[in-house]
Amino acid sequence: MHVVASRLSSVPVPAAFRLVLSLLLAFTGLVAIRAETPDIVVSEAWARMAPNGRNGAVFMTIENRRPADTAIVSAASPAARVVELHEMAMQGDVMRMRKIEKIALPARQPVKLQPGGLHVMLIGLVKPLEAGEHVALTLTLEDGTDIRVSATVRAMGGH
Amino acid sequence: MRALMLAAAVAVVLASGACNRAPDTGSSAAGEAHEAGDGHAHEATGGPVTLDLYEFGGDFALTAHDGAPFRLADARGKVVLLFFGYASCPDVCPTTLATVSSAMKQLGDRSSEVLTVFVSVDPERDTPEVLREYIDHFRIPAVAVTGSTEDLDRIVSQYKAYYEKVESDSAMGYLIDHTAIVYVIDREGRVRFLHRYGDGAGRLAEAVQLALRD
Repeated sequence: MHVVASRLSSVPVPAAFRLVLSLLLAFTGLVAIRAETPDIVVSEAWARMAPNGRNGAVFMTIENRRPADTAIVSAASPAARVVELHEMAMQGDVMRMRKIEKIALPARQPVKLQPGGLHVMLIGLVKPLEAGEHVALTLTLEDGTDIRVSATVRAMGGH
Repeated sequence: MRALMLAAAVAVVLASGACNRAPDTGSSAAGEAHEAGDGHAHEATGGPVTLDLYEFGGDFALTAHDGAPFRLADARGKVVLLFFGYASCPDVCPTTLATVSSAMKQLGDRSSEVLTVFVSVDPERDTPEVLREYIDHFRIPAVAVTGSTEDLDRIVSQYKAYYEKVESDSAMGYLIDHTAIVYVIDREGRVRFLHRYGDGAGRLAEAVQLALRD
C-alpha cells in the first residue's frame, strides 16, 4: 500500500479518467486535491496570497487513515527557494513562530494546518502568489512516502 | 430612576474596565492565567465593541516605504490602524492585513478616512523597497514604516508592545516574535481600541466606525 502510494506519480492514469476524476473533485468542492495516497488524505489545501521574494504559508487538513502514527518530516515546492515546517503560537498578545522538525499525524486522526497554528512555510517565493493560482507542494512522510498537494491561493485570511 | 442610572453607570465602568486591558506580552502572570483559562493560546474578545481612552501611545517619527519621513501626527484627522510586524512573517502579519482589508471593504466609502500604518520591527531586512512591494500587495490605503532599532524600541515601549529577534536554524535566518494587536487610533492620535488577533474583521470595522463618529 505504501509503495503504491509513493509511486503514485509514476502510475499511468488514463487522461479520460483524470478528467472525470478532476470534474468529480471540482463538483464536490475539493478542487485543492490533485493527488492523494489512499491512506493519507489531504483536503482544503490553500496558500495565502503573498508578494514576490517574500514568504508564504500553506494550510490544509491532513487525515492519516493508517492504523499507525506517522509524521511529515519535510516538504518541497517549485514555488519557493526553501520549504520548511513551522508552528505559530500566540502567547498573550505576542505571536511566536518556530521552525519544527516534523508534523505528527496520529493514526486515524485529522490534523489541521491553519492560521495561528501549524503551516508549511514557503521561504523566498520565486514569484508572487496571486489569488486563484495553484501552488504545487510535496510532503514527505517519515517512511519516505511522498504526498503531492495542490493548494489554491486565497486572498483572505481564512475560509 | 436614580438607582437605574447608577446601575447603568456601574455597568459602563465594569465594561470599560474589562476592555481596557493593556497588550499582554505573554510573560506576565496575567498572560499565563489567560492562557491556562481556556486551554487555547489565544481567545477572541467577546462582548460589544466599545472605545476606551488608553494612556499609552502617542506620536512618533519613522521612514515610510517611499523613503519619505513619516510622523503619526501627519495622519491627524484620520483614524489610524497601527500594527507591528515584519515583511517576512508569513501568517500573522498577512492575516492581520487581510482582516484590515476586509474591514475596509465593510466600511465602504468611509475607508478613505482610515490609514493603516504597518510598523516593521525588522529594519535589517525591510528596506523601503521591500516594504513598498509588501504593503502594495494588500491593496489598502496604507503606509509601511521603519527606522533605527533605537527608534523602534522606543515606539514599541510607547505602545506597550513587544518584539524580540529570535535566532533560528530556519532558512529565513532569525525570526521575530511580536505583538499582534491592531491599535485603533482616533482622529486626535489617541489609542481607543485594541483589536486582538483572531477578533475578526467585523469587530475591527465596528471599532473604526465608532472612532470615526467620535
